[in-house]
Amino acid sequence: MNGIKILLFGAAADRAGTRETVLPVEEEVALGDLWPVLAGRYPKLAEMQHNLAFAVNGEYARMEDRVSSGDEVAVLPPVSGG
Amino acid sequence: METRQPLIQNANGAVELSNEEISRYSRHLIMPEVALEGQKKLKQARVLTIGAGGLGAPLAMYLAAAGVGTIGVVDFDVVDESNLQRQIIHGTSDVGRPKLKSARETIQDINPNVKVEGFEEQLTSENALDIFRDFDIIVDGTDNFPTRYLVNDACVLLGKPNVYGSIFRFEGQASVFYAEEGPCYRCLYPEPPPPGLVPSCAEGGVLGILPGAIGTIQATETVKLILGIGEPLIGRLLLYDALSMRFREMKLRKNPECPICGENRTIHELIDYEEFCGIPQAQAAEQEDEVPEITVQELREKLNNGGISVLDVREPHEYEVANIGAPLIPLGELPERYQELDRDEPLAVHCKSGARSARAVKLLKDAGFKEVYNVKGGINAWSEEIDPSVPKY
Repeated sequence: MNGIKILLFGAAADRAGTRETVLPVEEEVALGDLWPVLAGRYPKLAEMQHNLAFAVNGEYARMEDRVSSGDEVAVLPPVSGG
Repeated sequence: METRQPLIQNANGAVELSNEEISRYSRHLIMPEVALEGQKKLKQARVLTIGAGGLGAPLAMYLAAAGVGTIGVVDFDVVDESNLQRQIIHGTSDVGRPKLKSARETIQDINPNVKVEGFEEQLTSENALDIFRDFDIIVDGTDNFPTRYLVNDACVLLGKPNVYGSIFRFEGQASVFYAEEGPCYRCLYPEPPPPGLVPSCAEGGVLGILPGAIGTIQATETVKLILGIGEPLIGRLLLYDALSMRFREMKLRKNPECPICGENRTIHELIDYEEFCGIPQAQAAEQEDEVPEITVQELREKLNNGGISVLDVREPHEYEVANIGAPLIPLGELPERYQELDRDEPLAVHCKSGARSARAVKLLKDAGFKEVYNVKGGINAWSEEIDPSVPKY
């Protein structure tokens, strides 16, 4: 697969209007560099930036962690409901 | 059978099971993973559930049925009709009664051997440590961010496991935050979202069955921790999506810079969690942004005199549930469609309870509307005070 698969959860999926997308990124980049591409595609996501958790290939990741084509990035907003 | 150190040790001798209990727990007792010793551990265990709502309901009921000896319940709310779609510990006849009373009766009916310790008060930074101290496991079934951070911090400070679950629309999360062995909630989400960024169940809705799925996962993890069997959800976030009927799992890491469980922690006692979550700041900003309001009584009078038109800014599926015949332009479409309205005529804007219509009024005023009001309490107030034939939802 070319590009990075993005999985969106909860309120992030609602804001983006989709639960899944692929970003056409070929070289290895930091997660922090991927974010503006994603927020550019779904502007309503932008204001959630500092409150999201990210996971790369099923493991919690930080903004400095590297991602490359073929990786799967999960975008996890906090959930308070009970 | 144990795969880890059970939270309750050496129950033998400390508690005994009656013949009635032995019959009751028969299906547990014939499994070597539980057996007599495990059942005694369950009886000796003290589990605190925060909230007797969507998650707390199945949680407390299954823990009671499983034979957990003492179940603490913190809740100061009253049963509302809109709770019944998911909070199965309460019944129709409980509407208007304290949740704690109703929960206690259900638990006692399921299993009279269980001791219920009720705390009919709001969990605060002042009482949390005192309430938590005497329990072995804390189970988080609250519905707001300030309490979630409070529960996390109190658990970290006391070295107790926090069995976490949360729900939103068709999705749920569960984990065991146990700083002694893995990450805490703050390692995952260091900063709370500002108020309004993430909708609550009251705002976004929730599938009634969803808390059943997540609450029973929390109950399962609680029982496993007590018995010391299997692999707990420590260091893993379980994600459940009811629509795709899929479970996923994310490995979590302890954050070395975590302010409460990291090596150089900066938080040594409980803080003001309302402040931390920006609640007072948001309320102050809201007051500053105040828009002109009209009560439903004033609106009725004006409508009788024919001096005002009404606009509904909810969604079409809500309009179908209940409406008062006003034209509908959903809030999201208003920026493109306000030209359809006469900006020189007085206009009252309503939604379900007044939050969305306040935003609409601000938008219309900015667009040059001269006299525009927010209907206080929305269509629900209209239903309660003016016309009960309009359903309240």
